[in-house]
Amino acid sequence: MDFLNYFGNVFTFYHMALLIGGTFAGLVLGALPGLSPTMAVALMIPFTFHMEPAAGLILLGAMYTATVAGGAISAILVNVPGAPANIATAMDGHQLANQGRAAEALYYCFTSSFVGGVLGIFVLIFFTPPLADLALKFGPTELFWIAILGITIIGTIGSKSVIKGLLSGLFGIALSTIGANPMLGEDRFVYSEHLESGIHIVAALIGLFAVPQILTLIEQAREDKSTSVYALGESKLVRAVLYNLGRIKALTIGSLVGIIVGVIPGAGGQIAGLVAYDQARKLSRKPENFGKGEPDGVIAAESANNAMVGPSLVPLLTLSIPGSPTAAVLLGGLLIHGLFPGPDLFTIHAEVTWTFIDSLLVAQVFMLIIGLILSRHSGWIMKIPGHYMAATIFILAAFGTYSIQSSYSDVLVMATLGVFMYFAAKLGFSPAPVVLGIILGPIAEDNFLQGKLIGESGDGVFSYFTSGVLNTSLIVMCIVSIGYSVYSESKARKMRDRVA
Amino acid sequence: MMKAFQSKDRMAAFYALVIAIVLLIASFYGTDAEVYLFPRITATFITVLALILAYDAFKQGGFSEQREIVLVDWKTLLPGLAVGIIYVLLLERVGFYTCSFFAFFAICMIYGKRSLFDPRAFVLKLLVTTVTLIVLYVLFWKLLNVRTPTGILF
Repeated sequence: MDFLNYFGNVFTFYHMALLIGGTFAGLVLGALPGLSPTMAVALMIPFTFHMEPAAGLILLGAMYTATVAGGAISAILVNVPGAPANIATAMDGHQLANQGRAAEALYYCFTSSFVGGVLGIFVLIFFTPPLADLALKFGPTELFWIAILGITIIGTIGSKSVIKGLLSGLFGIALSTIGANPMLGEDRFVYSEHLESGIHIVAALIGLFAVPQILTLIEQAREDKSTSVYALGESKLVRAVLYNLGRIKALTIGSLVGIIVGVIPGAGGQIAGLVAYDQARKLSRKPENFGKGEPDGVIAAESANNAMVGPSLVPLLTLSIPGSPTAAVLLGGLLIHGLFPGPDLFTIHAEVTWTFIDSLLVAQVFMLIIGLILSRHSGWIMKIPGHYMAATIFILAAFGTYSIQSSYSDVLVMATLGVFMYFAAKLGFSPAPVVLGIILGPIAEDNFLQGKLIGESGDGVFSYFTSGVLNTSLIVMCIVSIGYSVYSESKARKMRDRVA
Repeated sequence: MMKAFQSKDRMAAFYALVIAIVLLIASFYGTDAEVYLFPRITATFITVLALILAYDAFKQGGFSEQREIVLVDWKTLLPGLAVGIIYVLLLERVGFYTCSFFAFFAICMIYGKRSLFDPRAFVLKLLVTTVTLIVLYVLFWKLLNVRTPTGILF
């Protein structure tokens, strides 16, 4: 019950202000169509750099939780999911809005997000420490394979194309090798003074997530999108909340699916929402009502995508394998505060880690309260013009990147990587594996070189890297992850060809 | 020749191959094997995957999808890109806040839905820009204590 020992740390004025501010900002940013939760968290990282680690992580955690829930607002009011995690919410949520029950749908969203979110955080609390102990058994080879597994999983399961996903991850690793060799200290690929200290994680995070978003926003700014925001309608808050809490089956299906999908590295909220929606429909007594404004559809999808948040941090905090793209960004947030995933988080840094995890639990309460209040007044969020959003993100990206090391080079690197990612995304590459490559690349290289030295003095490098239960299991997991994704992709391609 | 790239996957494969070749040359040519060992392994894997991507992209569908694909709306994007490039280049020399003010205002003016010559829109955008920059100044300069380069203006 370690988590109870640090619960009091959350209830300081400063931490509470951060929780409320982070939750409100997260809900608003999440609700803005086109702004992804991953970008929102990435953009916030420079602000946390100047804070105490616990305070910084509290802000990031609150943003992560709230952006996922906030995406439901635009999904319901304008049928444009604020985040991929809210795609399933739009199916019945927007139909409810069509029937003049938008406020009711939003109440369902935040209540079920709260239930799913709390259950998910409990999974994080009880499953993380034992898994972190497992990491104690890891030597250089295991850590090398863990890094490779992380990149492999997010590059395959989290991407639409296996090859492009893996290529993205490898590009990230290649970028991480710019700068000094970790063992010999000699510079590599330093063709300009701006690359002397390599690529800073935050510059990469902001460049890869925020800049493509800015360019996409300005690209769409002139499009005539006459989206009509639906009226919220009249609905009794207490009645809606009580009705929602009574939908035990939909809540259980959503939460369970969210928890399972969250623990699977790389899967993310989109899969959680869609699978939960599908299961709720299949197990419903009236499946024909789904897609026509069935509250259970909204409840299952929303409880699932928020139940995913906590469990997605389990592999992240223990093995540095993120459960979702946003969790990958959160890994960057941990590293800039000198916190490395693994057992140390629960021993040396126990106070920071447990305060952060406990704050996620409190963040669910704020998300519920602020979300329910915002439900009554959320129409204005949809009306913020795209060019204001683009200009604000643009300036925040430049200032945020500069503020980390007071380095102009970081701004240049951020802008270059961002423009590159914008074009790469148009060709089907995704930023999450690149970021993970940049973050895990140095870990992989460092441990690879250490393992190589040990292997050379023993039975040989190949044998050292491939022997032992842990090494073999990790290699098998890498192969299974790639094999499964190749199989799914070819199956999907065959289906497409058949339809065509 | 260009028809061969009128598919997103083919273009992706082409650019991936270009990057793979650049990485191979950069990590293998005239470099220390010990220092560049890991980049060399990475470059090799990238090349293998880029070749698989190219094989896959050119194999499927032959030249059947020879339709015009528009990936980027350059006419819309170029003014924004130009603002960004000028901003990044002048940032240090002119000063963070002055550059940010003009960049923010330029993006709002260029991409706003109302006419560039609408006086009400002009005043509104000027107001939004000024307020945003004041908020940023208070946040970074006063609260976070980040000293951005002041350049010749500020």
